[in-house]
Amino acid sequence: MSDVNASLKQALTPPPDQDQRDTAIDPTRSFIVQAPAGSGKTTLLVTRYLALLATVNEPEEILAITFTRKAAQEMRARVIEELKSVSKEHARAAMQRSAERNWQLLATPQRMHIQTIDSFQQGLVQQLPYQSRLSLDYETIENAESVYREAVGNTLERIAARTASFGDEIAAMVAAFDNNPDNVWDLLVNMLTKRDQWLEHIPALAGGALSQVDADLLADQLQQARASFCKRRQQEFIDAISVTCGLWEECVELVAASKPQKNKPESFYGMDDPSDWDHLVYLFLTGQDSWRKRISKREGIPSTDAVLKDSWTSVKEELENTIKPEQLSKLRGLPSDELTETQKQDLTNYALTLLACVQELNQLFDSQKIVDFTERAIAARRALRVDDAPTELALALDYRIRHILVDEYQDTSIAQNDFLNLLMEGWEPDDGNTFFAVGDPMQSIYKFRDADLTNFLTAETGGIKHRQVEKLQLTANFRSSTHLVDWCNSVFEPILGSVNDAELGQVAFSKSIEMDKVALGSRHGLTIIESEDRKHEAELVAMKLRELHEEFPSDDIAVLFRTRSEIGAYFEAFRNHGVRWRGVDMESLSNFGVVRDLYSLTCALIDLDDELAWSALLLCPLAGIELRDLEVLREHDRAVDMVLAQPTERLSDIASKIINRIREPILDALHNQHRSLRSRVERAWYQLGGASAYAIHSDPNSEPVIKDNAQHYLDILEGFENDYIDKDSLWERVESALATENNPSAYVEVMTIHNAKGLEFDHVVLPALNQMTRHEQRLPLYVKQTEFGTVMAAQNQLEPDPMHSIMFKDEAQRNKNETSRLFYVGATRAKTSLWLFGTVKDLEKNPNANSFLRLIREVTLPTDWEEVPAKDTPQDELTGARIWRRIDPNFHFQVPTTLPEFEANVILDEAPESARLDQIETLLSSPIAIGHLVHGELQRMVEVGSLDLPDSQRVEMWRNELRNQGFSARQIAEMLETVQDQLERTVASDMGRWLLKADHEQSAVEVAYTTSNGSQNRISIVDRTFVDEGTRWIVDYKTSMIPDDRNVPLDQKALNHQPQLIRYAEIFERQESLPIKAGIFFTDVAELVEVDVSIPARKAVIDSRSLSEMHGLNDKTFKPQELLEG
Amino acid sequence: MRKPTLNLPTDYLSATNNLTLVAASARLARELRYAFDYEKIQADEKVWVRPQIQSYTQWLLNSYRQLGSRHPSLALRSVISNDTFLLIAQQQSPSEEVEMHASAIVDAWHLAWDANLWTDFKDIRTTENGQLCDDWFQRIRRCLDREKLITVAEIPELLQRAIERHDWRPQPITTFGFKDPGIASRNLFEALTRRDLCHEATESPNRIEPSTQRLHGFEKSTEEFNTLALWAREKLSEYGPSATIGVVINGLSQSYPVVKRSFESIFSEVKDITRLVAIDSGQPLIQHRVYLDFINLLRWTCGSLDYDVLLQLAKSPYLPRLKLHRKPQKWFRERMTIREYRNRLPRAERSVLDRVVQLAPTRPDQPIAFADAAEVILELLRLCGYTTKSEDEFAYLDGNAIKVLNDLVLRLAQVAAIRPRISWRRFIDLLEIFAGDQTISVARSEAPIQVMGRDASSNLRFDALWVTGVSDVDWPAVPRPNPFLPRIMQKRANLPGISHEQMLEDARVLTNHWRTSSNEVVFSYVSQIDKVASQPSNLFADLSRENDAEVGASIRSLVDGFELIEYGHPWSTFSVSDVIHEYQQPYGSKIAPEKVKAATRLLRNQAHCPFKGWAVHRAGLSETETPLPRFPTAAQRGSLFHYVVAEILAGAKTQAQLEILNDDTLLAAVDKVLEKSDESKALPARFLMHERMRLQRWIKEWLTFQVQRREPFEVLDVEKEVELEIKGLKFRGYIDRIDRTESMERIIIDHKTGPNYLTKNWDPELMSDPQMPMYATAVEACDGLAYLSIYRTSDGLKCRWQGIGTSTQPEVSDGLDDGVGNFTSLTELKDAWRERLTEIVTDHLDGKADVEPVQDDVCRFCHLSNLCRVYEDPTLNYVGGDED
Ligand code: SF4
Repeated sequence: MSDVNASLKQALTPPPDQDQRDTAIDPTRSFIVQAPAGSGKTTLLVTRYLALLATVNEPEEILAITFTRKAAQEMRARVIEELKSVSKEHARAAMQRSAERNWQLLATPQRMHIQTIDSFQQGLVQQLPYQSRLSLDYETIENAESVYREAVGNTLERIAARTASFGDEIAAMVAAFDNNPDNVWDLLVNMLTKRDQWLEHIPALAGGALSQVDADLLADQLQQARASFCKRRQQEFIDAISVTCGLWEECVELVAASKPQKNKPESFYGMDDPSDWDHLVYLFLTGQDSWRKRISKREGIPSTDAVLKDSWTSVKEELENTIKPEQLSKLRGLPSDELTETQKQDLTNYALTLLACVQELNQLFDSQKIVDFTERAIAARRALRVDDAPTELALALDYRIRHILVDEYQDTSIAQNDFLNLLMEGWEPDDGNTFFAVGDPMQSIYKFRDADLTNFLTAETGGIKHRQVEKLQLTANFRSSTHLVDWCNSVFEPILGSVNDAELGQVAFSKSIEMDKVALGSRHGLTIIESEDRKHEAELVAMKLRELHEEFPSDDIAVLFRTRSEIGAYFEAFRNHGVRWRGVDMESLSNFGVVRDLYSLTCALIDLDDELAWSALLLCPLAGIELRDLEVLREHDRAVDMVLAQPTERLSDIASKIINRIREPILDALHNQHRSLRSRVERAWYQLGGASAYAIHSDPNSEPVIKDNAQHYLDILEGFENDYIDKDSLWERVESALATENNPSAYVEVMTIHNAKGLEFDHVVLPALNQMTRHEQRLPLYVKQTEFGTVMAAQNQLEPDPMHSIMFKDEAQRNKNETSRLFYVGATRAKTSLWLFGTVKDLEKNPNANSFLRLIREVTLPTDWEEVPAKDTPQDELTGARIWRRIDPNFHFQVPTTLPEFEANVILDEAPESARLDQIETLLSSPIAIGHLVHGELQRMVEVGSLDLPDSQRVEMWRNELRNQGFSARQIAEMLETVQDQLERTVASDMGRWLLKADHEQSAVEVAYTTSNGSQNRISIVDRTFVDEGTRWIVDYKTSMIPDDRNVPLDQKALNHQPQLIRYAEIFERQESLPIKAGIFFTDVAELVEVDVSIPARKAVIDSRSLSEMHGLNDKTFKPQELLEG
Repeated sequence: MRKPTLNLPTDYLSATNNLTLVAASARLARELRYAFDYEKIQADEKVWVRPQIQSYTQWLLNSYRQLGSRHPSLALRSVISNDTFLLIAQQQSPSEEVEMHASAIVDAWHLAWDANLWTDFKDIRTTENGQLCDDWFQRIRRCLDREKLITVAEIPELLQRAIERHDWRPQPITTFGFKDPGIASRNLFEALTRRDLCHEATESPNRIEPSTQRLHGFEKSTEEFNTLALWAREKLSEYGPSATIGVVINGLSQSYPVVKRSFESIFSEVKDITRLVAIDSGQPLIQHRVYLDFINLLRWTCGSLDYDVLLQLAKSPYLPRLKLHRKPQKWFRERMTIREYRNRLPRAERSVLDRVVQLAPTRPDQPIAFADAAEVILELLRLCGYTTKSEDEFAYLDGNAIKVLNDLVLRLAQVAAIRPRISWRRFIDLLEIFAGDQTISVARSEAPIQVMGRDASSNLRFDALWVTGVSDVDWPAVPRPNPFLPRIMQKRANLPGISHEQMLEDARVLTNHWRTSSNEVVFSYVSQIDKVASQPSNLFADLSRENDAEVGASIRSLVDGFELIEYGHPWSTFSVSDVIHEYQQPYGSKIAPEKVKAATRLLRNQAHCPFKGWAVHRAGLSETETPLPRFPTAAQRGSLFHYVVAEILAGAKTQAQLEILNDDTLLAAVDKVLEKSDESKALPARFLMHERMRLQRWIKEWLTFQVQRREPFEVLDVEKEVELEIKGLKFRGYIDRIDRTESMERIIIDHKTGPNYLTKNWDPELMSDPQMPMYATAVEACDGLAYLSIYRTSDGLKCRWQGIGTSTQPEVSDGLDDGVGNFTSLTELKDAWRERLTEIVTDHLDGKADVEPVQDDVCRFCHLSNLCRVYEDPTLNYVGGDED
């Protein structure tokens, strides 16, 4: 949209911060770069990456860390693009290096390690299994919430188990919450999610994985950490005011002089007690944290003492010039260094309960062979913490990491930053390795993912652990129009303030410089409605969107929300005004009828007794049974019978028609169990009319919504990997899944500000400015990781812990600061125009605390506001009974498309073969094992041509094998005796010796034949065959070890095998024309019983053949050796 | 019948019987056998001797056995399966801490033998992981020696030595498909070749010059799979019944369900898809019901099971005789042991569970003989009807699953060699471990569409071939060196998967094979990863540059007719529909009063929402029973408090009497309740101790609050029964307490534990708690009514009145405040209540069933939203269950 000349001009004029940009590429130096919105951060990263490529030995030596996978993918794509085009100098140099060192970079782009910290850690722990103590087999799961819940449940159950460790502590901890385990469940789950943030920092716990933890040591560590935390806070204040010479000393004197009880300066040793600090704050700040205007006797400075009063006035002025009131108020209410007994007790109870949760979690992980990302991150750090880690790492990876680039550095957590430091462990001062971080603290909005600004702000001022870094600041904004850049500067400078305070998450505003970008239609607007009528606001927003689209039909427009709650009203208004939008992850999938009906269908199919599901299915548009009919149908005992039973005459005609219509698809789904569940649900849904039953003319969005959401639901269903589907977990997943509407004709994108991070749009609308986040809740436990260890504070109503209040206040302050930044991120997505909307009950009064409206109210001029009076239309009355919808009861599903016809040599409509489940019993059966040995030995005798009985070594071998098959020593002894006995008998008998003669004509053992009837093949294995005096002999061995068989006469037994022998005979008849004799050789008695296989005999047999014989199932027994395959 | 996908080695057909063909993999062996049979059938033969075609592993095992039969001393040891070996590795782990790495160590062991790393093994100790590996290997060796066992990996070297040193002559072989065998195998083949016992098969040359090669990117992998299934169908139609269509899927085992489903939907008319499509990887056994039912039954014998698992077992088609409850019961707990469950059953239904309990070892942690454990399993299964023949509807897949399960138990049996005695629990654990890597495969050789992983495709040729996963990040694949063997050793031995160069080279070779192995080849990749465009592998640079437009178009035209490319199913022709009918149904049917079971619950439900009243009380759709949770519920804890209050009020009736109660009396009341109540019986000791303290704190707070009341009072009634008749229905209830103040006013009091009890719930228009209005209407002498709530806030315990009606008790209420609407007197309000209650009852009798929740939040606790579709109504501010 921007003017062509302007962009040309922009391209030609170097930005004002060009020298900073040039410097940042220098591959020999380390930098931290603050790059505000629109400053072209990615280009900088890519260029530096290319520049580094030209200097390294292997591409793997550079590690580029991005915050999301998407960003990694994007950056990689950009790098490849540059490499391919070789239009820029750095790209050329990189390609040349690649050629020199034969990297084949374009063919193996995986060698460029541009990835998220998670995925890098994944690779790392796989290469350092011993050090990371994480199994390579474990699968990493994205969402482990249910496992955390389970772990917490198991932990809490320890209360009941008398012998479980920490049972008393857990019980005591729960007791503090009304003795109600439900009250702590969420808290503990949350703590487990973030365990990487605290576990390692309480050394007593980190070490005490499963053994006893020393409670005193633990308490000591917690006490230490909190004392250092307070000390540092005080010291920071002292440092801050020490820029003015003598100011601190004057403060101390004032406190000494004015604090009650300590009115003798000579006995005052200086601010060693928290109450001294409280008094200091009290002297200068009011209860509302603003500077005191007056001082009086009440504060300890009587107006009569002119000297003291003067001194107060001058100190106050100095302070006002040096610091912000928040910096002073932070010092209020600090606890004393020593923990009280109650605090000790509380904290150890908490800590040990947490440890127990971690233990339970690890057990669950082990038993399910999974880990979460957190565990992997912990393991990765563990791996790098061992002695000699740098060497081991280099040996394992086969290269050394020499350059680290970090994108979005402001969003790293303390734990991630630790990890980065560990990677640099072992770097030498002059090794030429570099660290490069880029980010914008003003855009840090991931506190909920533990992003901690401390990393960025400390790196800026003091560098990082292993490297000196230089600070660079980009200022040019290539994104937004001049007008918007100016506006943002003027609004956000006062909102964000000018102070950096890492601990409270506060970042000073830094100005952007516009690139002289004139854009048509560049403006902003701020519309406030004086009422709390969300619908009214939504309407104005909808109208604005239409207006923008009409004016700039090819521009992209975005509506950005702070949270997802209450967006229903906006969508409703969009619908009414015909705005075509695409919601990106804005609504829960469970908000859609089509999804709920699919869910009901699924539940119905997996649970024939689920009354709610079957009834819901009957009431939904796919069926549309009416209430009276449902009453009748509910009389069936089983829920499924409502559909399967024949309709009675008590049902209305229409209901009978519907039931008859839906029965077919439901039956189809119920019967075809071999299809996947998704398949069945999907088919049934289409057949019931799913594709036609929802989309309505009046809503152009409804069609894509149905398609996308139905598809999304089915994908979720498919993701359930086993045949046990738990309906509740399925529903949980549906509820937590977010719907996307892929509306191709959309011209507006609707998303949260968080999702919009990193994106830009021509026009941005920020509605619901008065929306606030939930009231800051006082959590029962605060845990913060600091460089001194973990600081914890618990709520105790009988004996309040001051630290708990401090941490609560800090947290509230951090949240407040993050709100300001979130607003900044939202506003800076706009290139050309920005539109803000809000409602407020009373324009005279302050808007909601913590809302964007409150922030902007304080800093903008009233002239900037367009105030809209409330509409006084009456609340629209509900009009009559609600409308139900159903698909035409006469609807008939037709396969909508013709797919290519095909012809295949397979039978299409044949029901699947039934299976026999009766083979388990044959396992571990000694008769079968004996059979194998005897068969094998008889075979060997023929092959080797010797009738020698097996020697001791051979017997030993058998023994081994049998033992290996699971038989006990006693069993083996018996079995071997039987085998040897049978072999001896066989060899001793004339018949046996004749059978085993190796020099029979056409002598063969265990010959396998394939027979074919044209479409099916089967295999037959003949134990022994030969030709003797012109007759073909076919013999099958039977060891006959089945005990029940004992009394059956041999003839009878042999006859059982007649069908099998007949089949063998047929095989030979096909190949030769010799007369055939067949028989069974019973090895236990060494007798051959001849079996009649003549033609008349065959006829008699045909009728009595059992099905299983026909299929040859009895031929095959299990051979352990076969199982070793694969 | 489809054609074979490879050509038999020249002359092999005629050279049957004594010539053994050794194929590099089982997959290849299967295909060779197929090719052999195919030729025979084509030649119209009916019977033939089965060819000696073996996979390499199979041949190794056979040869080892043969060696044993000739030279027993050389092959005395018995060969163990991979699972047993894994178990040994676990057992031999140098420390418990590293036991989890056993499977990687097993891999390292195989690599070491394959590549014969032993000759130059000193570098193993250069890394910590290597040291661990070395120590571990030594322990394993000692164990194998001691137990006289041998692993498959060791066999090639052993055979080679036997041939070279002992002049053992095995049967001659022809090898097939060995592209790049490991050193050990190569040495073995060379030893054989020197004795003229080994030849490399030359496949009859039949290189196909491919006519087309295409490259296509898909936005999502589902699109990719659907398209390829559709394409396969088209090819099948094009090439006819003898077609061979190959599909190569990267990461097949993970994609199995999606692949299977894609084919199921494209071939929607085909009942048994396995006859058309053979998917090499199968479904993992552990996902299959046949296994889940089996293992859960076993687990239940030695621990408790979640109630939803028990419901699954109840519905098991494989355990028909088990007969558990198919629906949740009131007494279900979240987890139950088999004994708990059995004890809850009526005697007549217990027999099977009784037997199961008897059969299972009573002490699951005590070692028993291995064979006995196996016997118990078989007995249990028999008992539950597991071994009966399946019904037809349980398909062939089940049959395969059962076979796999068979194998599993059998393999487990081998463990007895190293662990003759084992605890029942451990036995079941082992079963699970062994089951972990099992898949149920139904790949049929004759299916014309063959779906396989990359490696399996390397020797095969097809009429048409589709290869997925060729994006630049997936192809070439990323090297995955074994972390326990130091890199330098692996590099020196040039082990597979060690370097990028090697992976690239492998990828080149395979890509070339694909390109020349079929008439037409489609290469595809997912072009959007995390919504960012991804690139095809550079190995296809020529394709994307030259043919891009044409390629895209050709695939497009194939699928354009169907929306399935996006929506996964050929039936997904969505339409803005003309077949939707609209209707209204504010009423179900009428009901006569005598048929109604009057209960305050009915009043409440109908008051909350007519649809709810109808659905629960007319259509019998009550909430499904949820199991009793592991810990006491809010309701149970509330009851305990109620009992304590009742206990106190039983002894002290007036404010004065309450005032003089001391801590001991309170505690005594608490103790009495804890001793007697059912709710406390289930509580563990530690919990009970703290519960006692809690109740004590609460009752004290409550008492203080009573004592502070300004006007003295007397408790007239506790738990008083009242009855109210509306339209012939009698509703009965119990009033917690009725007080009389000094000025003789009577107040109905309801004790509540929780903050959310407000008088606005009694507003006749928006009444969500009809119970108190009902009491007030039923009791003649009532001058006021109030909730007395006690609850916890972040500042501590708090008591509060929420009441209405009397001005002499200002702390109880401000009189008739506007929380309930505009009424000038309680009498007037009572009239309005009576009217409203009558209306509610009338509505119910009339069958009124409008979806009209009285307040937004009643839906939050309602189970019917899937039926009433309240969420679809934009005029209602529907807030679902657990909105955060
Ligand atoms: S969910 Fe709400 S609208 Fe639906 S039946 Fe329940 S109370 Fe009524």
